[in-house]
Amino acid sequence: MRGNGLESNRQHTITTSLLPYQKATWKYSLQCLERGYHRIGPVRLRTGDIFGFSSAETRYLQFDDLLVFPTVLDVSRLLFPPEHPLGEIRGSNPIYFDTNRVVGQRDYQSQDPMKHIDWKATARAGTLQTKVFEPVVSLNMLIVMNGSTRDHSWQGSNRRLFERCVTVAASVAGLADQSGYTYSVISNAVASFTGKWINVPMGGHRPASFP
Amino acid sequence: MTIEALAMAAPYVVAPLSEVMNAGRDSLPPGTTVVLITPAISDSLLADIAGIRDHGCPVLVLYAGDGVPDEELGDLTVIPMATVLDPLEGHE
Repeated sequence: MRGNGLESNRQHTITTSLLPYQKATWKYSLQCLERGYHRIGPVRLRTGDIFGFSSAETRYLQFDDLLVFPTVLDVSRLLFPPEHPLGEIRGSNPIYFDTNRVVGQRDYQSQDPMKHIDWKATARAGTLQTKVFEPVVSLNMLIVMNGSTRDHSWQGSNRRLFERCVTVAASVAGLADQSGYTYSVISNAVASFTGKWINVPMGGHRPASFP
Repeated sequence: MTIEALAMAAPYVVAPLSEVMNAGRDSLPPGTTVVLITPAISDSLLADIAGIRDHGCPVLVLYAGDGVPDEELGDLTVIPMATVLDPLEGHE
């Protein structure tokens, strides 16, 4: 069995005796105690007589994969107070306007587009009036996970602190997912057996991908 | 896909965090909230955060280390996560 992280190899051995044409089946229940991508395999079969005069060996190189998800915590109350459910995302300067939602009028300014002039309000006021639209702020979140647990890379990695980061990142992503936000996840930590850093692009997640 | 990606994360760093963030910074939609999860806060990390804020993105730091960060962080919003993480590890 090979696990990610420390790339540990654990060997499991079964020894039994079989009569001619007899079959044996072993079933296991695995407790998923450690997050990560685990490979089960390969299998090596070795047989021989009880005296050790003859032996034969074969290998099955296929792997089975087992992916253990990180713990997802409820961090909604801890992270975002009710009046700012998206943190500090609502800024003072609106970025886009919803032209279907008019919230009022103001005096025309030279940089205003002509199509935004409210002609009825202009007639009432006697001066040019421009429609004021409701601002729309994009609901995007970038989750950045720092995989460096030490100041310098040569100091190695603290596995416990790294697992804490993964748990928090998964919890925040779960919160964003449940709330219907567009988000992405990047990290300088490597994805197992890929050699590349983690990068889930904006909107690249599947709906309801969290348990 | 996200939780699968996080499940596959291994505790090896393949690049400085600044390089990872710079790779996608220009494609970030304006106003995107950046939630940075870190177990340690260093001077280089603070410089990276300043770069993000200069780009117009608000930054929220979730400190996943033990206790609270020692560094002086000014007006940066930092939330220590020890209160939710310590019980998982059997700490008080």
